[in-house]
Amino acid sequence: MNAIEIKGLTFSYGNTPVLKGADLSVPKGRFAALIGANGAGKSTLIKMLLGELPLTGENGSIELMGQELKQFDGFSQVGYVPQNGMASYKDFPASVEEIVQANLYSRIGLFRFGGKKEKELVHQALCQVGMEPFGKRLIGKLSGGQQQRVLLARALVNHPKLLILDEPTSGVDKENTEEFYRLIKKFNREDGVTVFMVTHDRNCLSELADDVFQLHDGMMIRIDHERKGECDGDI
Amino acid sequence: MRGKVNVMEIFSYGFMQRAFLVGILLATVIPCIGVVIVLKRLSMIGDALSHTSLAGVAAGLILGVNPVATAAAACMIAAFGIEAIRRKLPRYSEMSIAIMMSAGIGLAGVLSGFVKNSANFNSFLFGSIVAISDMEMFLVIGVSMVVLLVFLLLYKELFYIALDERSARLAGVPVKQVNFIFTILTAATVSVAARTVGALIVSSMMVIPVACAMQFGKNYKQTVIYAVSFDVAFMIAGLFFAYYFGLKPGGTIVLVGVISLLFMFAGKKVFGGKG
Repeated sequence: MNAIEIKGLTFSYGNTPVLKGADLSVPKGRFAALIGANGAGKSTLIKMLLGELPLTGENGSIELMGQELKQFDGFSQVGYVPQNGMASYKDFPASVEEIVQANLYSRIGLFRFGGKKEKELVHQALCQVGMEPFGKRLIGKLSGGQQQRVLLARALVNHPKLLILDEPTSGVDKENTEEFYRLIKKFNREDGVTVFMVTHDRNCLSELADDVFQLHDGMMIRIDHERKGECDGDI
Repeated sequence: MRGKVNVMEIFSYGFMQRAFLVGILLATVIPCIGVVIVLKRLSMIGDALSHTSLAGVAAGLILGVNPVATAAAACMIAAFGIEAIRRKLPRYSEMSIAIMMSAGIGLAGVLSGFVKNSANFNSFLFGSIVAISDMEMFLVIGVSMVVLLVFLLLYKELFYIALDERSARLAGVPVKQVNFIFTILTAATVSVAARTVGALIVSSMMVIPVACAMQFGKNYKQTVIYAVSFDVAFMIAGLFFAYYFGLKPGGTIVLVGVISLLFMFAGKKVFGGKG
């Protein structure tokens, strides 16, 4: 079964078509990367994948974990890591622990606060990404790379089966980017987490991703395994 | 001994007792709304709503209806209007506030020309916390209790939405419903606060204590507690200064807050910030 199955996806902003029938399959346990120039439709695809943009029968179909997106009720199995939040988190008065615990919402439920068990899960998630010593720190006091690791911990706290990453290393320095990729690779290879990463950064794709797709002119192109290394370097 | 008696004299008047009760309640509730508004980067929303509430006040006075009720109705319309425009222009959310504020000011300006008792209308501009009726006091108590209770019940939902609306939705937070409830809470708070502390002042009571709290808070929970504590302290100090120096209470409360914030900025620069 595929973790993500996209068929004939189309989308237009007004009269401007962005996606023109894109197809994509990410089998369970694989690491897939999506590349594309600015304006190629990567963000639109992510928004549709996360149910933020309307998906009618005419727009094609999206399945997550074998379930139609409209009926999909397993978002707790999906971890999402947004683009670097450095700017938006700069002065945000929240500790690392609070931010990770926020994602345990469906576990904690309405009108309740997290207890000991939730704190333990937060601790474990922070340990997984090497950020446990920073639990009490304000998120805005961390570097961009550290913030991204916290957001990765937030995604991992629910033990997801699928990780969706939206340009997670943009604005992060080379050293932290490499550390971040090392962690993602580890979760993919050792824990079997399916990874779908949208990225601008083509470096390391040959080592990192099993499958590389490129959005070009609204269509999805699969990059051959042998050619992944050819396109090393930022777009 | 004489000085001590003078200090306590303020509490010998029923109107001052009421002012303290209402002031402390509002100073507890307003920063709870304020912290979410500030973190959603919609700090000017209080201004937009309070200016629109003036249009409601004017309409109420013209129609002979309770102006607090019409102010609340105007605030709700404005709050939902802002939310609707914000969704249409998510990248330029501050534009929605400017549009609604302009509409509110314009409407209040036009309608105020038809209000016969302009003194009554003017009392809403800077509030009249020392001249509130029993009914207004009970209204403040009721609204404050409800707002505080709902804020606590939706504490983690409001936090996650303020932090990252998309991730909150993916985590299962009913974002639309929580935003809807929060909009109603904001409108209700602004409309009752407009009568007591003043429509032109309520937004500063939302933002200044939060700005002060953000200088010291080491997490969200602390920031909320500090914001409430600061606002209560500003309210008490403002009422004391207003009483003993014969100043307008609404403006004094805000000035106490602004001066305190300036001292905090200066202190932080000299002694260093939080870790």
